[in-house]
Amino acid sequence: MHHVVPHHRPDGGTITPDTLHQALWSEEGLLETLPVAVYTCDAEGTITHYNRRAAEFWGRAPQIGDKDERFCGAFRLFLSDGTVLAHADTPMAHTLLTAQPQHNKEVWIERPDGTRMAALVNINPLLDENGRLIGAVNCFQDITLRKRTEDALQRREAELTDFFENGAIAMHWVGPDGIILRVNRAELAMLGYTEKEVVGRHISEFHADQDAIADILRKLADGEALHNYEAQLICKDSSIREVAISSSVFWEDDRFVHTRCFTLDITQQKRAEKLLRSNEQRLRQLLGAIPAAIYTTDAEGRIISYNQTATELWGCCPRLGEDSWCGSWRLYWPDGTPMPHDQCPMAVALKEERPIRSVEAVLEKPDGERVPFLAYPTPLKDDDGKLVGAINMMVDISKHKRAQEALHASEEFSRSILRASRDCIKVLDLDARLLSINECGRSYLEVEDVSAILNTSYFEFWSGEDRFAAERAVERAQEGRVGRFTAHYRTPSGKDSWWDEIVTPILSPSGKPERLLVISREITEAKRAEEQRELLIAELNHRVKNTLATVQSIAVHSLRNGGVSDSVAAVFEGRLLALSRAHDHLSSAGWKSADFGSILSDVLQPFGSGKADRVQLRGPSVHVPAGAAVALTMIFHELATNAAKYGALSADTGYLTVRWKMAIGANPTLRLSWRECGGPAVERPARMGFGRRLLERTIAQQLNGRAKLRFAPPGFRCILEVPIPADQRA
Amino acid sequence: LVEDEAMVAMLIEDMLAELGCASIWHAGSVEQALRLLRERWPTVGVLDVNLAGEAVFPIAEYMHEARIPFVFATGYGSSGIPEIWHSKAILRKPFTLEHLRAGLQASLDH
Repeated sequence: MHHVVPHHRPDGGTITPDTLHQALWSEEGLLETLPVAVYTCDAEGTITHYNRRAAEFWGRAPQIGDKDERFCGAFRLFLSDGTVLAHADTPMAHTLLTAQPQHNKEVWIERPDGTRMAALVNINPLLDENGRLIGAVNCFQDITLRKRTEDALQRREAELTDFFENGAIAMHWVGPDGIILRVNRAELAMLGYTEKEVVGRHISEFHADQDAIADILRKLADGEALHNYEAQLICKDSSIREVAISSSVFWEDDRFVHTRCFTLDITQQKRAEKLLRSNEQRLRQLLGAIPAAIYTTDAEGRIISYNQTATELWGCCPRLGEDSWCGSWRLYWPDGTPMPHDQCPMAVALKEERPIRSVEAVLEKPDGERVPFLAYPTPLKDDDGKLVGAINMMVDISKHKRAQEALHASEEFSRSILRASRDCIKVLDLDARLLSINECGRSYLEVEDVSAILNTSYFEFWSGEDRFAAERAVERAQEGRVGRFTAHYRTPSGKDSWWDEIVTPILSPSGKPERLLVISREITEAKRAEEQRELLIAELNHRVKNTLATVQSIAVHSLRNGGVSDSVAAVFEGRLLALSRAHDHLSSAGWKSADFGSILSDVLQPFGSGKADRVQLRGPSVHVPAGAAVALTMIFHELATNAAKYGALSADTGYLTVRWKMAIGANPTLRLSWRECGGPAVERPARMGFGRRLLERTIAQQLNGRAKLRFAPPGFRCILEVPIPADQRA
Repeated sequence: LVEDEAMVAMLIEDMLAELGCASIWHAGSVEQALRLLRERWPTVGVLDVNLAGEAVFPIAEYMHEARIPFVFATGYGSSGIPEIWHSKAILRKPFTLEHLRAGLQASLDH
């Protein structure tokens, strides 16, 4: 600041006013040497003097004493805020009006060439000895540079404030003690607080993660800058904002002034990341859970991921990022020719950038096992349609293949059975209409073309009782059971045949009869053989009987002619007839076995006539083999004869009880007790008769049994035990 | 008596004589029997079923139509005789005098 010495009139001094004037204003005068612009005005404002610097600043040289140039020599004047300053309103005018100095006023001078200059103006009034205002002196200096700097600073501060207050980036300043000094609107909006609720509080109160804020403050105090430090801020509504904090400390002369924290809301980003992560995880889980083998490659075909099923299918683990196209050990086409990996479906999908569907191939595991599979490679493209990789799903079809082969084999097997079968095999619908018949059946029915008989009713084949039996069998099969019957069929050419028909239901998967299967086996031969056998047995019976009758005749004539008594002949005849009866029983059962009860009652019948209530037979139905039947018949004939002659049946008061049962076990045995009562007192016979000899020897030696005879006075008793092998009882 | 086996025929003839038959005519085949029946008119007949492989039933039919009672004598039992004849007395060979008496009695009473 340069002060102009007031222009005082010297009292009787040596320096005249002119000298002084000269000293001040001349070309080499003092005022010209000063780096300030100076000009004077009279009381009316007319410019009376100015130095060169003033003219330089004004950009012009006003006429001294020009009444039109008042107060200031500037072309145009403005205030700092840009409003026009009239010459009459200048600080100079003000001083001339008020006689008061004006200090450090700032005005902008516009030169005629349009350039502007900031001037700092200091004006002092000029007074005469009476204190009357006679003018004023204005010293002004160029402060444009300072002004510009100041303006820029101001502007920057304003911008900064604006940025701080109105910027999209949330921001707060925190003091060295952790107290929030400032917070901008963006941050308040983000967290939902008012300024009052935040400023003056400790920053940690707003952090959900105390460790994080402690770490942040520690780092800042250590002079470290934070960049996108992830933290969690608590909103007014208690929700949490994920934020990334970028912060640094504003130091001033090693003094921690405050931190400036930029808070970037990354909640959405976090959420998106989380979603992405969970999507990815879900995808991975999905891939892991899918029973199909799945792997992915990059655009070059290098394998970058695969699931568990894929390694199981391959039998090995490919090297991620190194192995290409497919993780399998070896590949083959379905026909067995080797398939190079770079020609596998995945390679084709990548090279041709198109999805490939269900291409069949065979892979070989390192252990040599070959597995057929279907490949479904799909190229993966980014949003711009650029190939980024591919995903391949491989479906193991070995089970399917095996099942197919097994099915094929089974079908072929069934067909071959049907072809080879000598049975007539028919399939009927549930209404017994013929759906199909095998070759054998076709030839039995003597038809050339099977279609001629398809759809005809199964019942048409049969007549009479056989038809009824067929209907019954079909009914059973319709109910889910098995129907079976034997029937006669006469072929179109008149050939008689006999059939064993088995009708079974073909069940649907739900277990309901769907169709009927009829397996017809020709039993004509068996039937004929059976008839033949029956004929033979009848003939045998006839022969045996005639032979016995012949023997009877010979005996009767021999005995009679020999003078033997009739009673002897009767005994003989009795035994012969008993033997004959035994044969009757055997023949009626086909010479295999006979019913024990009927043998016994038949034998006793001649002796019990008229004494039915005196003979009691009680026991279960037991079948005895042929040999035993004959032997037992003879034994009972002897016992009965004896009873009629000497025992219980010889007297009117006696009675006979025969009881038997089967002892089941390892050796099934027929146990029989013969018990006579009420007859004459029994004495043990002195001589062993034919009957007793026959009994004891037959039971013990022929039948491997045991016989116990008791000749007790109240009546004869006998207990027989005869083993009957299970397979010989019919 | 129609019976092809000589020994058996002798036995039955003796039995019939013992039962009091005045005249006994014997035939060994269907043909013989039919010829005999054209000449004689018996009171009662005893017919063996199987005559050396030839069935006796034509004789049975003839006698049935002529209303001459008869009994069958057979080694087969009733199974060898058609059902229509099951009402007739059937003697199972061999048989006793008593059996024959009862059979003849039954056929005469019928």
